[in-house]
Amino acid sequence: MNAAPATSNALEALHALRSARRSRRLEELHWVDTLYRLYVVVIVLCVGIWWLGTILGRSTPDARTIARIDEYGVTGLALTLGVLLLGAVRSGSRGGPLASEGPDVIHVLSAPIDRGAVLRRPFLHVLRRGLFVGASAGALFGEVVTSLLPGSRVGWLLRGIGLGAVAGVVWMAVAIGSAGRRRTRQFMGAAILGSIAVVGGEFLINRASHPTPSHRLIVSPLSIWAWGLFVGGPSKALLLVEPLGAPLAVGVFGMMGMFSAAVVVAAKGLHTVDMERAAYRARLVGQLRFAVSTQDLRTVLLLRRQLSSESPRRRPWFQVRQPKRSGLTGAVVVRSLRGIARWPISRFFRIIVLGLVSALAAVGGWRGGIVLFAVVGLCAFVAGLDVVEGIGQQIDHPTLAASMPRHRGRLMNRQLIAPIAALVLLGLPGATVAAVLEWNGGSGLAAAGLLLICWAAGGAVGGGVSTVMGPPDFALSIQSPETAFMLTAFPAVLSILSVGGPLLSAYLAARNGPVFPGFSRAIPPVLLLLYLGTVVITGKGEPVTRPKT
Amino acid sequence: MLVVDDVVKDYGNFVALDGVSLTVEPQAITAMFGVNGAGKSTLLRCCAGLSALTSGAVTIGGEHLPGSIEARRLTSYIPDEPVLYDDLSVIEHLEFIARMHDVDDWEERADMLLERLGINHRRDDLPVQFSRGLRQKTSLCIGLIRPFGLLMVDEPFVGLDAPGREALVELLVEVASEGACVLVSTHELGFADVADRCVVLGDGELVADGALSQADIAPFIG
Repeated sequence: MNAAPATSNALEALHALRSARRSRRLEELHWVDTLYRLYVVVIVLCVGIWWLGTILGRSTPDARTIARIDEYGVTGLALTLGVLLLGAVRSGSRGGPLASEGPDVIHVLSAPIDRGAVLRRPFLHVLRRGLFVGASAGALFGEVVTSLLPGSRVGWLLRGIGLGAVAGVVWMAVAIGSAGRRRTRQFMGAAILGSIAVVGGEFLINRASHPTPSHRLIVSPLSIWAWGLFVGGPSKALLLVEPLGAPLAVGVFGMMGMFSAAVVVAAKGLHTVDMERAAYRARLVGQLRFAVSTQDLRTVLLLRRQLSSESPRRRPWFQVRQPKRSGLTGAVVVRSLRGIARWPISRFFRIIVLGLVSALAAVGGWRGGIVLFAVVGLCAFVAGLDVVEGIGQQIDHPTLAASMPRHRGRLMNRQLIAPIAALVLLGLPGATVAAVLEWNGGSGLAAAGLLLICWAAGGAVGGGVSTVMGPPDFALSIQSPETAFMLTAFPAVLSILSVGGPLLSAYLAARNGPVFPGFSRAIPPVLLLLYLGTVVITGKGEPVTRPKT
Repeated sequence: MLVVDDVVKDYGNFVALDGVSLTVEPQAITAMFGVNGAGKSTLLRCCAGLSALTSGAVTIGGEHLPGSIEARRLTSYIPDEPVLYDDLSVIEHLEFIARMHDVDDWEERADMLLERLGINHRRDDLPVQFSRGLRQKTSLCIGLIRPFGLLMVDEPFVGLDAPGREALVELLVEVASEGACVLVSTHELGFADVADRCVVLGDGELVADGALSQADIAPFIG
């Protein structure tokens, strides 16, 4: 049989298929359900932003605060953007956010059609997703800035949304652009690293050479672009006039230039899609979407690790020997430590970063934004999910644990010992940062130490409870996702209360005296919470089975 | 014609293909045997442009590299695991794939394939509800509905019932006689009697090649 030439009719066929599938999905959509969900999301978002605004309040900053924001704001914003964009390059090196369906990879991308044309529409969808996610994050950022700086709330919100939307689209474009040719990826990575070096270098030079830094003397594109757009605001950006004048104009044109360049490079490179990676990702992303829809956190975690090519090391970082007389607890701890010894470097790094974010959130909460205490607990929970691998393995391979003449739940509780120790060690850099920034007295240091232990224990127990509870009942997650979500969120709430409780107690106590007593007062309830967590693990680990009568 | 020249494919610590060279001629069926992990599927994926080569070269139809538009036009690859849309029926799959390759008389050919592979009665059903065997038959129909010069099939007999196997063998013989190169990876020793030529892979290397009988191949695959 001879191969006939394929024409652009194939593209028409593809578009026809996509519209037919879209129509079919729309036909199957339950409008009442969808409207109800939309209504819930909008209500939650509006109430959340209003609540955030109420908690943060409005303060009138003094001259010193404004000077500090002026000093650190540009560099901070620019470095944050730079690090985010480096994350985009990293995402691109692992396939990027563009995930085709498995059949599309085999049947469409393997058909004689221009792959760039096939991927154009999914590309636009991904950019749109970046726009919405970025704009939402920008709105939250604008809300936080409203509480710190003078100016109208609506104005800051609009600026936040504008900056976030641009950053979101550029992030997606850089990630997609980096997913193609290696040379493009290397160029993008080098350009972003160079920008970060320029921004950081400029900051250091200014710090060294001036009592009052003047960051606008040196052109560091990333910072001026972002700051120009953010401080100038979209309305002024359109007029390209004072009060910031040149930096604002550079900012607007710079942002637009960066935006356009990233999108064009990404669109041009669409046809260079790596088929091997596309097929691999298609399979995993399909499973990931299903796991997200059933709120199965453990599966989401495992699939995310696979997507990031994060597998255990063949050679452990350190050897763990089993003591001759170690007993059951010793055997379980050694098993957990051996697992930790094979962690890839990225997992250590991720937990240290979570610790640092927790520390900054704790300091931010201490300085007034007490809602950030919840972020500390949430970071502990995420770190906890990552470290309780021993329990996870026992859940993933139930037959192994079932073959042991031991109470499985108690075995699982013992599996918490090594993860808590690991979290304490990996949380040390964060605790140090918190101690340096805020709690640097004798009593403060003790409080930071106690907080670290709460962080580690609360995170590990929350992660352990989430792992043993597993996903909510499938029927429940379909019929009543809100109820299912509450069950999924329970372990996270446990972590938040275990870490945020002592922080809040100390914060309230600090108005009248030293910090440490405030922390210590919250310890008994926290211990009770952790005990409850271990009870859940014990019960779920060894379900009670009664003979039928 | 498919030419594989000194192809190496490694996955970091593991070498899946280690210097494989092979030429698959038109108008003939070439059967590829080997134990699990010998590199059969990897070789087919490399030839289909779904995996990048570490070194070496593959050309299809004389000069086209795997993954290029011309090579994609010439190559029909049927993977070992059926890859199907959840929301398209069997006939919708066939229509879509046929239109992607500009086949005008697809309906007639689709009827013929569905009839011969025994799934005509399920043509309007969604493959997501099918058994493994029915999904495999759907996947075979998809691979055969479109024009090709090179047909590569990975483990086509898995899950097929006896009539399905017979129909598939007949179809493979027909497409080869019409001028296509046919390369089939399989564990079915009996297929050696149908094939014009057999190759055997072991640990990523070509260990036997020629008009081999079942008895010749058996020692290599245990």
